[in-house]
Amino acid sequence: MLLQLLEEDGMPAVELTSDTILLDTGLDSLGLAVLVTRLETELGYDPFSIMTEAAYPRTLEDFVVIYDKYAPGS
Amino acid sequence: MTNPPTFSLIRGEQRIDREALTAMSDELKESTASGDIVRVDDGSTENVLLAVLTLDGHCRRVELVPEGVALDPLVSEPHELDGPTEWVIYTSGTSGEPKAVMHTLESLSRAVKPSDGARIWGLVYDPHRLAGLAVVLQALATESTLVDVRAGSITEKVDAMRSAGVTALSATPTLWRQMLQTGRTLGWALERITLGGEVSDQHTLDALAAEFPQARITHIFAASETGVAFAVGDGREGFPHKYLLAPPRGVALEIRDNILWVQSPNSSLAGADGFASTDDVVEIVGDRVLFIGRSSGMVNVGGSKVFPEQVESIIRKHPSIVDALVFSKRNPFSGNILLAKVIVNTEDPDIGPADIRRWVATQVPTHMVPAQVEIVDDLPKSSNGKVVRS
Repeated sequence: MLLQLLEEDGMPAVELTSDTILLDTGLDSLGLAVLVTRLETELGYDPFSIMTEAAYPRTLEDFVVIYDKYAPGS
Repeated sequence: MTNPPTFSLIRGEQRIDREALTAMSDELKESTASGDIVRVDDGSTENVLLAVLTLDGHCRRVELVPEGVALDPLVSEPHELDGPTEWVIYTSGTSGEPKAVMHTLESLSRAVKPSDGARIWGLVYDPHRLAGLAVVLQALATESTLVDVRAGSITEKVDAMRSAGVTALSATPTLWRQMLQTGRTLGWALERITLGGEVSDQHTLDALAAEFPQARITHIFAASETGVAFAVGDGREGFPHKYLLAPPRGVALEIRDNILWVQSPNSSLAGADGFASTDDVVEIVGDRVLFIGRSSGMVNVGGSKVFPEQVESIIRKHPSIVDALVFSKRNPFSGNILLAKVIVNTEDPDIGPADIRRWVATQVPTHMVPAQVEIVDDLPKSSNGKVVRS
């Protein structure tokens, strides 16, 4: 989904690993907002609106961990 | 020699002519006492007609109550009729709770043009509200035929109006775009087109002018409190800057902090100087005042101010898109994010959300591009045909 978003925004594709720094992919805070909105449609939840403390995921792994932690039923 | 035209109401197979209405009117007069308060609330067009024909100058107060407006029961105390009958209509409530506004039949009739002559008017608006009542009063004053097509789908409305020979129609820009979308409007000999209740953008005005070349197209700015403040008939969006200096209907207009204020001393929203905010953000571009969006609807996306209406207006310029609704959602990364619902022209089934988003990105700065575009068959609308942005 991240790659599709980059393609839509006319960004070059990047190789994604768990250490990839999110802001290095070409996504800015607005791009991140778009990604989170789309993931909510896909997954049915938005961890960032559920969590009480502020979180700023740096790497792709941080991002995925947040989604795992707040997955419904986990 | 043919007789001069007289008013009649058509709904489906039913036709009520002026003679039948007069008989019903006489009955109503018998059953109501001078000084009564009458509530017209059963939703029917003929009862609004009867109230207009019978109760003015006869009853103390007439209340036109649209569906969905809940009121306390009437406590009617006998009271002498002293002065003109009070006509109470309710604001649409799109900007809050429905509110009662006091009028006289004279103030409600100010926008009526008796000289426009007899036509066949379509009625898509609720006649209990300002926009619909304006159509009813215009039809009565000109001995026109009124074709009530409030029930039914948009396609059924268009078909019913065409088969009844409707030549004049007042509707919201949203409804006009949907009528064009039905593909059943080609060759419809409309003579009068009125748009109101929402902002009319250039694209919509141009599309109507192309589809209905013989029609006189007018977009109006009206509010329940003030009635019609002005009407624009030059085919261009917004209104002439000179209206600020010389208001065409004597209703003074002012721009304060980019918001349009309208003189409406009878409005409960008006300040000591008699002006009330319309909540419409406007911009002066050359000789024109253009509507940008609702002040209360402005959202902050990544630190930039955006009016959803601006983005809608741009999306509608896409050749394959019929209509668009843009709304916002809170988001921790950018404050808010825009989301769009669009209706796509049925002749272009292959266009997808990503194509639309990519195209919008070529037209506007990044923060105005909706995060997500959803293709839908219909947009949420109020009973009067205004799009509901929730």
